[in-house]
Amino acid sequence: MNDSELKKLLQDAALPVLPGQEERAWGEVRDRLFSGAEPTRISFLRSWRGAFAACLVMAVALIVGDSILTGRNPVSFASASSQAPGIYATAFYSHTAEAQVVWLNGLEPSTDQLSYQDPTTVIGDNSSDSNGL
Amino acid sequence: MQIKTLVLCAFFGGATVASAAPGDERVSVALYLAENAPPPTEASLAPEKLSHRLRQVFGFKHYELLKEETINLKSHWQQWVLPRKDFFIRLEPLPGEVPLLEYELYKDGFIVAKGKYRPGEGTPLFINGPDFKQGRLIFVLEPR
Repeated sequence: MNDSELKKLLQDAALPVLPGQEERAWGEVRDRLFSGAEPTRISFLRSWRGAFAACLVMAVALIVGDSILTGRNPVSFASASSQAPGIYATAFYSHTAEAQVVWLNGLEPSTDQLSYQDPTTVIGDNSSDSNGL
Repeated sequence: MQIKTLVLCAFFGGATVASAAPGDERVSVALYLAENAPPPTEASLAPEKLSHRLRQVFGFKHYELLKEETINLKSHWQQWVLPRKDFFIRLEPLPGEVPLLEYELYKDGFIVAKGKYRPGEGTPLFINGPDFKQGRLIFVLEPR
């Protein structure tokens, strides 16, 4: 139904209806309104077969979407928390490297001269001192 | 039509289940020295694929393998990997259906960070360590 037809229909509907002719007038307008109606985009849902097909398509779309999302997001994960003042730990996933990354900031550089003293060595030194050797 | 639909559903359903499958049972723990200067000729370097991934994150040109060990995720007791005396890691596989690894990082004998890592298929964990000489120490945990 184009605009001119709709305009004419509305004009006809706006005409005064004689008493006792309401039923006939409504029937005429109703026939003209719905006689040439085109099927809507979701009219296929009115049948069971159409609804089943729509559900099937949605289910396949969900499965495909899930597989795509699962493929993009990492299956693994990593977390990190700092355990020392001045140290900052962050965990993230690098999409370019396809790897989990734990980034620590604030660490003192390592050297070949170890700053860590073996406790057994310390005890041994003390015992030597106490023995007066 | 119905057969095609069933095949499609089976394919995508199978792919989803496979992607959520638990990871491997062994994890290699390696310490690399990242540096821009060419390493010695006798040095053991990271495989090309791993080297490319490390380069994407850290930006150094060369990654020299200092030490590598393999731990078993089915052994639910703590395992220490000590490639250096001043920088090492403690690992403890946690019980459960999905492999989960608890780690603690130590620097100069003190714990500096801890966390958890769930190894995924082909997804390693890079741990950015302290600077060393002109480079940096990096732990790499990789499912085997």
